[in-house]
Amino acid sequence: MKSYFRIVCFFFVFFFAGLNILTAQEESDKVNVYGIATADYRLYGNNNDPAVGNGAVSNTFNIQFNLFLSGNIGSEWKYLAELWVQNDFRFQQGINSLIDYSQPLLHQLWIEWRPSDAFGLRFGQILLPFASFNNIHSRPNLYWFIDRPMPYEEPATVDGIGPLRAEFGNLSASGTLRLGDGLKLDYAGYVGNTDRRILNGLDLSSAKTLGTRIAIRTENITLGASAATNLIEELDSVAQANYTLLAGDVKAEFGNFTLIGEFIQSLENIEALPRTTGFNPRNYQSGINYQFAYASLGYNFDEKWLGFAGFDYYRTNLTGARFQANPATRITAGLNFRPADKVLLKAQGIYNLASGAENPAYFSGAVGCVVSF
Amino acid sequence: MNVKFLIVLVFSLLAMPLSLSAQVVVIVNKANTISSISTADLKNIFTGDMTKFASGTNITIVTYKSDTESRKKFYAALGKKYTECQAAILKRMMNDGLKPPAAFESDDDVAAYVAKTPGAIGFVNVANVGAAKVITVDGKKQID
Repeated sequence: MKSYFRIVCFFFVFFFAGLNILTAQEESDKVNVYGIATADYRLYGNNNDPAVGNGAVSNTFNIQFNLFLSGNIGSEWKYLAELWVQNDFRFQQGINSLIDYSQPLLHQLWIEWRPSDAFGLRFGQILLPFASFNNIHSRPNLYWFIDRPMPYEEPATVDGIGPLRAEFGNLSASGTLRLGDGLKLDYAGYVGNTDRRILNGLDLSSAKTLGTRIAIRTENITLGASAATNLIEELDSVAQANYTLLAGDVKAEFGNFTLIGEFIQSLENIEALPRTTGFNPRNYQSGINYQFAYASLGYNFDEKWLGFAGFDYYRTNLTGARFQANPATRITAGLNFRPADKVLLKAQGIYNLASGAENPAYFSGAVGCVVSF
Repeated sequence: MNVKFLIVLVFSLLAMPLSLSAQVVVIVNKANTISSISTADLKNIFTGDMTKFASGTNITIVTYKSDTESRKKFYAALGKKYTECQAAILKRMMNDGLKPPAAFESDDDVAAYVAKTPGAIGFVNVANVGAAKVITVDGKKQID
């Protein structure tokens, strides 16, 4: 089903791209090609990777390449495709190292009808405008971190923070309304079918991901509120978790200071998988609520140098449980240097606070380089 | 008296190119029906928030590859950092398929591109308008 969907999307994009070239309409562009290439080296004082060993120092060298193709078709239609390739080289203890060659990922592929800035309809594979970071995903030229706040880094998804990510949608309506005097209202509503819902290539349910984000913007302040529901995660062969996400996000600029932050609350409901038997709610620990927050303050020394500091935090909250899981909290700080318009060098230090006796505090560091083209 | 007059004349002539170099105007294609724009809309355009003119024509942002005098003057007048505007545009390009800005080395190249591109909008030194059309910003020909 997913492959079929992608083939259909490919067909649409290349049909319109071909039409674009053949008919050479008045306002049609050539295909615009641009992207980013990034490399970073991360040193972890401790991690939970069983291949490395809990408490051991480990490091990774990551390279990532995002290629974008976009274009206008007439004055009201446009398309965008994004290809994402990422390789991780993990230098393990001893002489055995590991190289993860990821499959090229079709990260975005959509067509859009947008008669005005106030309204547009988008169809395909879409990044959801949920809170602030979900809409950026991993575009290191758009944020000052190397290691992003916890739910947005891939290793975090296997630690139970995955349900805090809204991920992808398939159809959205969005726009920006100018309310006058520099005041703007961004809105978006979307429906999708997340990967979590698809089992062995089959879409098992008629349930869809539904979500919205509304943000009020002035020239210096953005305040956003988001909600999404029916983000499904299969727990085993008979049960699934249904998540509702609520989020708030903020961006404020005052002089040379920029403050960014977001808060996400995830509410879980466990239910039977469609067309299965044997579901017993007593077999499952229900009421696991996830909370995540980050805030970071950046200071532009000039057009080339920026410093930042902040924290990120998440915890799981078992409703009615006697013992709660320990929250994870990190303090981060770093520097960005822009030697040229399209080149960005980064350095970041992360101090992971102790989380119970079994998780002592440790330090991580990273350096990276991003080139836009 | 003549010596004083000559001194004043020489200084005036020397000062003229300096003042011209600081005068930046906003230009569009001659086919574009707009004749004026507000600073607020300029900010919207150069941060990727406004992608169409009132006529429905898609906007093409035209700017400079390097930190020219025109670029410094223009972004100072907008009250925005160039890097801040670029970051906003990059986000729009990667999330919303915004057409990448066309970037050139010189005022003449910017003016020539705007003159041949229907939805283009750029800014140049007043002496390098070429075949493009100057529009007023908040009722003024030159931006402050």
